[in-house]
Amino acid sequence: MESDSRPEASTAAELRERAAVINRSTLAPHTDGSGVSWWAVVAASALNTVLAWLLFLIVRDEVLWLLWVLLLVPLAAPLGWSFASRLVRRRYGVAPVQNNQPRELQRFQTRAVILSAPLELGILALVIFAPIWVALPATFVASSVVFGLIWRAYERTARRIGASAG
Amino acid sequence: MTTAGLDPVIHPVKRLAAMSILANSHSVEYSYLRERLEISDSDLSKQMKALVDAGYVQTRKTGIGRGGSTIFAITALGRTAYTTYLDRLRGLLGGR
Repeated sequence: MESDSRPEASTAAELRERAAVINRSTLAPHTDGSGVSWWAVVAASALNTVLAWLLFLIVRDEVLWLLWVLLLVPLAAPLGWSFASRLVRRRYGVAPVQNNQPRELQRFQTRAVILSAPLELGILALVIFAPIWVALPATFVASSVVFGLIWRAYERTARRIGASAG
Repeated sequence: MTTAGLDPVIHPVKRLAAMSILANSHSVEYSYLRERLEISDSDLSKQMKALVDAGYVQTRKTGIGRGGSTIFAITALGRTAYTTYLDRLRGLLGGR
């Protein structure tokens, strides 16, 4: 009797182990990797600012620059995001936007990057005709605020998905 | 209780962990998978080859040489097999 029950207990343990493996592999990355620090947001914003002002130095014309920014910002937002996620991956070992990201978060990120363009452009347009010594830090702050808001929303979404999956 | 009816390709722990990660991802880099599973290069290659040979996973190479990377993604067949595996496992564990 005892010898009959051993294989069954061992199989049950094996199946429970499989269930635990699935839970760990499904939940861990987007719950432990989404605690992104502000320095990553600042780094992404700094990259955006440098790109924007390099263009200004090349163009030297506010109206033309605005047209360039119209092209740049949609490019700079995902570039900045990608840059920040690489920094995060080096620090935390998890890149929230590159690997093991639930599909809901992927859709959220796409929407966030697309939304960040008009938001950032709107703020940049307010300071575009100001002197450079005002516009330069204003661009940086605007970029930081936009990225910061997006990232906080990303973290909330990641936690919500993690909680509902758990 | 038996493990009969559970897909033998997915059932080993390392492959199951890999499939769980892939099923919840758009795509996964080789290095990321190796770190998550905490296994050696050769072991990961062996496990992923079994999944690729079964048609559950597809690979894509990016870059050349040392800067290159292998990206894995689950296929439609792999997703179906994984979902079936989950359903059967839940059934065996009494619907938990």
